[in-house]
Amino acid sequence: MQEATFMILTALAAGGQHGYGIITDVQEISAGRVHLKAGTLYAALERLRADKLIEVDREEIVDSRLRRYYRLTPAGGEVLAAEAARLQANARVAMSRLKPAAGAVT
Amino acid sequence: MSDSADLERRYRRLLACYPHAFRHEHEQEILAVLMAGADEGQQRPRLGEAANLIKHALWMRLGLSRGGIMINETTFPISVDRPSRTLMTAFGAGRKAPRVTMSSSTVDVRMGWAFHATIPRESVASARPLNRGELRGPFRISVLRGVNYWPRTALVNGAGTGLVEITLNRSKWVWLGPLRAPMRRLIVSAEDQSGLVAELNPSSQRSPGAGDPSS
Repeated sequence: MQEATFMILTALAAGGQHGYGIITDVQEISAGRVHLKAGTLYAALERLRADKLIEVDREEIVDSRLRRYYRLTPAGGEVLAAEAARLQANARVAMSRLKPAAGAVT
Repeated sequence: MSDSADLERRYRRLLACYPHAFRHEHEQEILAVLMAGADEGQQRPRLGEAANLIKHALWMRLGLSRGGIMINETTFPISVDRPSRTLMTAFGAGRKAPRVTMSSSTVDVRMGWAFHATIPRESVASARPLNRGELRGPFRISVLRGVNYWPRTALVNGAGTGLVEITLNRSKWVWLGPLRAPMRRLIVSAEDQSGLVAELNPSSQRSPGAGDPSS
């Protein structure tokens, strides 16, 4: 899974969000490192919807513009949890090899 | 005309690059996202933003859009013998390995620029191993390799062995190079013939998350 996808799923893990909300949230949780462009975001959302990992939550009209909110499906939650566990396991191995002494203490 | 109206008009022009169906579904919300991200007084789309929209629109039109996501995908390489590999490389179809990629919702079959089909999994009626001797019509020619088409049947192979016949429950439009053609039956040469058959047969499919009784 690419980092942008992981971030989008993570942004939706706390609840439904619309496109611009996802962009700002991803920027925040990545401490400004990942800035999603609209083209990338909607290509990813389209694919995640096709794979049934996200779904449309609701639609609103704000300032005469359409806002479509997306949310994780149960399958999306499982995929995100599995990927997070994989990244965590990899990070643990990396840290333990970088600091074998520190790893032994814990 | 105000700055924001100018900007919106320019964004709309860029979004026109997307396929009609995608635009119909998403134009209004993408426009809302683009306008929300614009600076005060901005009149023109930022270069990076414009390039990104055009890139994804082209990918979508060419059927290459994967959104950069590799989730729950299984890939089965299409087997290619040595002479075919040389030939395919010479024709520019061998740069990306020919393959069948399966996600939870689609079966994607690709042989370079020469063949591309994206088939919804529910459209696959059956899959079975096929012996070379069972091929009929022009497909009986044993040296046939690459992409061959006979009404509603496509033979996409790089070898004469490991053939798998995939039958669809109705015709789907597929890409034969730059041309579109209807296809009801697809025959591919798979490196893992039995694995591909098992994965394709509807009885082996399970919904995401199923099969975990521990929860």
